Amino acid sequence: MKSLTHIQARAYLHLGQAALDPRHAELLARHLAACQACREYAGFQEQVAPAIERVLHMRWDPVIENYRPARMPEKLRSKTMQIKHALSFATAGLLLIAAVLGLTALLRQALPPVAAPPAALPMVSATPQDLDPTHTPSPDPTAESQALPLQLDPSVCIAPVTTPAPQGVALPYPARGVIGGGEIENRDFTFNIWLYCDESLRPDDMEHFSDLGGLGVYARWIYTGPRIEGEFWDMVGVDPQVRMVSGSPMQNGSGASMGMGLQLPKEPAEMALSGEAIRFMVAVQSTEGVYGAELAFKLKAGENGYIPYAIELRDRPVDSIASQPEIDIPEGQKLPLIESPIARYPAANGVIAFSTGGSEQAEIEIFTMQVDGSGLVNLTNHPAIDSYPVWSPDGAQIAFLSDRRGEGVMDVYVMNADGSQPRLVYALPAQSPNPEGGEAGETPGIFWLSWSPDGQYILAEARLAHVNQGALAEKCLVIARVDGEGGMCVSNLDFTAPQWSPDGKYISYSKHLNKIERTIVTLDVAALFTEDIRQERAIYSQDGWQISSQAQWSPDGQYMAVNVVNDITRKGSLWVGAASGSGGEMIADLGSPYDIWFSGGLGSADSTRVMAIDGADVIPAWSPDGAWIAFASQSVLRVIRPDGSGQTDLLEVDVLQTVSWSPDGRYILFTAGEQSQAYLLDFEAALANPGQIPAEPLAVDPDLFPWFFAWQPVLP
Amino acid sequence: MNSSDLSLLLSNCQSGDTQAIATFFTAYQRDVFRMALSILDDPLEADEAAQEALLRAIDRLPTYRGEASFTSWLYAITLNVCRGRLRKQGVRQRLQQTLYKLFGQNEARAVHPEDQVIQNEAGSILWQSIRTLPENLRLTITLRYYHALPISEIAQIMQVSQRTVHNRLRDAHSRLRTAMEE
Repeated sequence: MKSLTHIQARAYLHLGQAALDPRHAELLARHLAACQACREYAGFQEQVAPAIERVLHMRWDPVIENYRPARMPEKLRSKTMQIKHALSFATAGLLLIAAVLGLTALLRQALPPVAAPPAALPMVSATPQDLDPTHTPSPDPTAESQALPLQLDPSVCIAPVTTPAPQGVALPYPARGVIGGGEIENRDFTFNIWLYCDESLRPDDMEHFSDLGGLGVYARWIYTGPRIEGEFWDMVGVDPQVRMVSGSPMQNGSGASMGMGLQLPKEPAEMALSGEAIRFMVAVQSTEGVYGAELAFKLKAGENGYIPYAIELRDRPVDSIASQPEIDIPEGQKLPLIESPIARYPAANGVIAFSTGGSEQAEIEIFTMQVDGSGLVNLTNHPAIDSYPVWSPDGAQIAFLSDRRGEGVMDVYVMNADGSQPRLVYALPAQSPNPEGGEAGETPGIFWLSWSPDGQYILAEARLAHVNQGALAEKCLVIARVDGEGGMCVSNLDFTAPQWSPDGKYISYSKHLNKIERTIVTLDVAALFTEDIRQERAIYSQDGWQISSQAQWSPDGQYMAVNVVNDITRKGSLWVGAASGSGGEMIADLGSPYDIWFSGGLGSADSTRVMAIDGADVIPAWSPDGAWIAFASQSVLRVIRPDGSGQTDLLEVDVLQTVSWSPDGRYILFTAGEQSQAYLLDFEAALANPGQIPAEPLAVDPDLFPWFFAWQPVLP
Repeated sequence: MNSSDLSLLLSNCQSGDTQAIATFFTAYQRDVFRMALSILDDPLEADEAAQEALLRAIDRLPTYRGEASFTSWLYAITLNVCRGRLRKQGVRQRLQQTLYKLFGQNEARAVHPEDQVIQNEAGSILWQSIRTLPENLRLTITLRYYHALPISEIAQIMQVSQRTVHNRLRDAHSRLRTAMEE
């Protein structure tokens, strides 16, 4: 009988005794008897293999047990929808319009007088007992013990009803039966809210989505009072996910209606087990108050799904949504208005500024160089962190962040283009000590720098105090005078990523609609400077889509471009709309983003997403003449015209991170790749030959870890 | 699912049968997610990777000729998808570290629930040792001991020889042993 080598013996051990036939088992036994090292290896494996199995199962099995397979991904769903659409294009088209992401037919319009409650719709849902709000059966343990399908129990909707919609109620779905709801008044508003059955609503269908298959909600609200000037905001959703969906002036007879598949705050089984009420809210907010109503109900387990019960409609004070924080502007900090914005195009290409990433070769400093890599100059050359260079509109100065005051807090500095005369223009107020002892917190500091178009002010986002996990950041909007004569810190303002409009009249930023979602608003600078009041106007808001990048003004200040991400599908889109807030559209697909998170970690409630490598969080960039927008879609650098035409794949790029233009519009400067390498792409050539023109690496030492590239505009 | 059912399902998927694609998705999503989770160790990333792998598999069904078991073929696709994501994670971590330096953020993160589960010291040391193994060794260990796959199937999935699998297991054992004895 031949003998085994050590390698063969250990391979046999990997296979396990049970897998060996008698002959090979004997060979292994003979080898182990003669080889102490292999015996030790066998002993270790015998000991450690079960331990490895145990550790890995402990690590991942709980996650897998709690795993709820995602709904069919967008691309896969598209495969199936292609056929579905082909079969019933007309019907599907109507439904698509009516039910994008479950929110359907939200139309602020002049509506006919409020109709009587839709008695024509049969109340086919549950038993009378179920509809009694005072009847509260004990929590239903069968909801958890049974693996109930995620749908309404068929008994709720005895039969699909195809009767025409009653007057004034425009349920969008062809098959429906009303489960419960009604009409209620709140001051000068009349609200109709109805739960209804619709078998086309399913948890696995993105376009006709409902967490509980078959369960939809219809709401309609009408204003019957005298005309009120100013903005009104419609808010709908299941508490606590109430979303702002539109806004406009209100006059007698105007109102809105919508239908949507219902989304639940928790798993149906959990809600049925706990008896917790689901509260669907509708509210209209104006500067004078909030008018709202809510439809509350509970779930219990049926034989083949869930049954809503204890359905109750009531008016709803939603003052928490309406809170209007006051702006804190210290006396004496009033600022003069901007009068003469400086055109930034056409401009010639100056030097390229960048900050280094902190390495053995260089501290975190700001350098400039010519586009060919020559003339490399360390502008800051200071032991402190100096980073994030932003050119003034005339290219004569650079604003940057530095912690030169110590304590690791970043303040706003400005220096001349050659690095001379660095000066502090805004320092954060004195900090309160971190009550939690500095553990696991975020330090104060400045983020996002933006110049006013006249070059007189710096706009920044400041975090004022240490923020520990679980707490929201206490922030203020910094508007600092570049001459160092002061500035203001506008507190109690919900904002992030502020930017000045090209005409100087507005400051744009994104703000929270709720704990997760954000929208874009503009803030009137004149009202802020002269009257100390906040006057916001929503620019972008669409149910189910949240902002994922800084909004970018077109060079003429007429439009804004921003990336948005669907909060269910995670699909990103490039949106372009009028800066006046009068509408816009999604013009390009961005794919799914990969995110970088700060603070509490991915998935925790206090996480802050600050950057993504692909797609939706790569900030879109307008060409200096406003004719094109460059953006990232997965691993492709693309351009598109603001009206959605002319989309062109310029180049396939792996891990695209940032995109910008040269001041003269000839080059696109982008960073990409595993080493965050900067590249230049000849735009006109690439546009004429898509995918054929290679990008040239920027001639800068990669060991400097260069980052935050900014091209100096040289005005004529 | 027996082989004839699988063959019919795959055939129908290739022909664009919507029901078949949905069935395919339902049948394999959990297994693919499990594989992706064990490679990426991040539920959200694993969920996205699972979807990407299934999409890629459907697109590449015409290339499946039955030379390997279907699950091996599917796992190989999943592995490749996850490896691509691991590479990007590496880039992200470097950028993140730079951002931390720039903005003075602490790197402290919430404790993963999974970390809280592995509480005993020996288990914790072993887990830390496994996660710091080179990628090839860690994947081999995972496929062998978590997915309990035979050596031959690991070789198919990783697209290496069985000898290489044995070598990697031996190397991984050696490194783990050293780590455990320290």
